[in-house]
Formats: sequence, C-alpha cells, structure tokens
Amino acid sequence: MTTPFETAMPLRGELLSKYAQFYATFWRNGHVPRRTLELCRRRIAAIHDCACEWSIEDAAAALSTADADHVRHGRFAAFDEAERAALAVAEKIPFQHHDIDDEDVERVRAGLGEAGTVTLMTALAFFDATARLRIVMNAPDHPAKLTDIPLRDGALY
Amino acid sequence: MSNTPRLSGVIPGEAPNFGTMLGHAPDVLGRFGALYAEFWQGGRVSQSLKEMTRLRNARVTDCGF
Repeated sequence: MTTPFETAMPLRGELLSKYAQFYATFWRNGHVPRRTLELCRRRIAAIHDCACEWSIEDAAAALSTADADHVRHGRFAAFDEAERAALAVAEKIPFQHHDIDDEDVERVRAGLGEAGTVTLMTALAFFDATARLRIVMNAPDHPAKLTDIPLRDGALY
Repeated sequence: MSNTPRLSGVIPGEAPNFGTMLGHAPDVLGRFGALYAEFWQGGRVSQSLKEMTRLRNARVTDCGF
C-alpha cells in the first residue's frame, strides 16, 4: 500500500526510507512508553493545527476520546507525572524551544533516564519536523486508526 | 537560558557533546546519522545550497551550537 506520505515523496525514496527507519526507532526501542509518545505527537500536531498528523491514531496507545480532547486543548492535569513532564517539553518544542529549561529536562530524566530522555527529545523534534513537512507539502488528510506495530514504521502513514 | 549540558555524555572523562549525549540511545544516534548522511549525500540539491539553508535555519532558530 502506498501511503499519503509516500505519495508526497516519490522522487526521494531512499530519503523517505531512512526517515521512516529513524522515526520507527522511537516507537520500538522501548525507552519511552508508546502512550507518552502518542500524547506528545498529537499535542504537537494540535499546536501546528496539522489535521493530517492529528487524524492519525495509534490504536495500541489507545487514547480515549477524553485523552485526545485534553491533548487537543493543552489540558494535562489528568495525565500522570511522567506524561505531564513529557508534554511540558512537547508544548514548547514547536515555537518556544528556548523556553525549555533545566527543570523541564530534569523532570523527564527523573522518569525516563538518559536513554529515555534522548529518545523522547529526539522524537519530539521529529514529531515537530514531520508536522511541518506535512503542512508545507500539503499532504492530504487521511484519517486512520493504525494497528500495525508501530504505526507502520512510525507515524509516517 | 542555561548553557550547561543537560545530560552526561557516554564517554567517561570527556565533556558531553551532541553525539555523546545521543549515545545513551545508540539506535537513535545510528539511524539519525544514516538519515542525516542521506540528506547531505543524496538528491539533486547542491551541498552549498543545503549548507546555506542549514546555516540560515540555525540563525532563525537562534541555535549558536
């Protein structure tokens, strides 16, 4: 199956392949809970108002309708401490990255350790990059609830 | 804004840098390197144009590193 993302990047297949392999690492290496990654990915999609990215759901992360609504509107009180720590950084990645401070990162490190912190920070940067890429390429919305692990080589559906 | 690295590096006795901090997750570092190399080595866009856009992006995002 050719995905909308693949349709938008037909001339640079090797680049797309490397991008997807890299992106899949976050979901597969086990350092960050998949639910945390999904919360952050969708928060960044919401900040960018990227309908294409938002419309993709990871079935395994199983966000409830209430979870998704909280994330869309930036309300994090219902989530646990580790999730709130991750979302606090995700909130600043798109347009406030210089406001991420030592305390923000330490909250993440306390919960996820060094390998988890590296994985999460890199994932957040690429969730941001992917949303931007979808927007600038006018990638079509293609709502999907994906059950493949993990999100068919990452959320590059 | 703090200039202190927020993670240690993986090489004992050496000051942390971008690569040694990412080294805590070797799979992330390895695949990032493969992707980044593809950006630079593949495609039709000249390396000089890529370098100009990289530098401009660093300025726009105020990244002095």
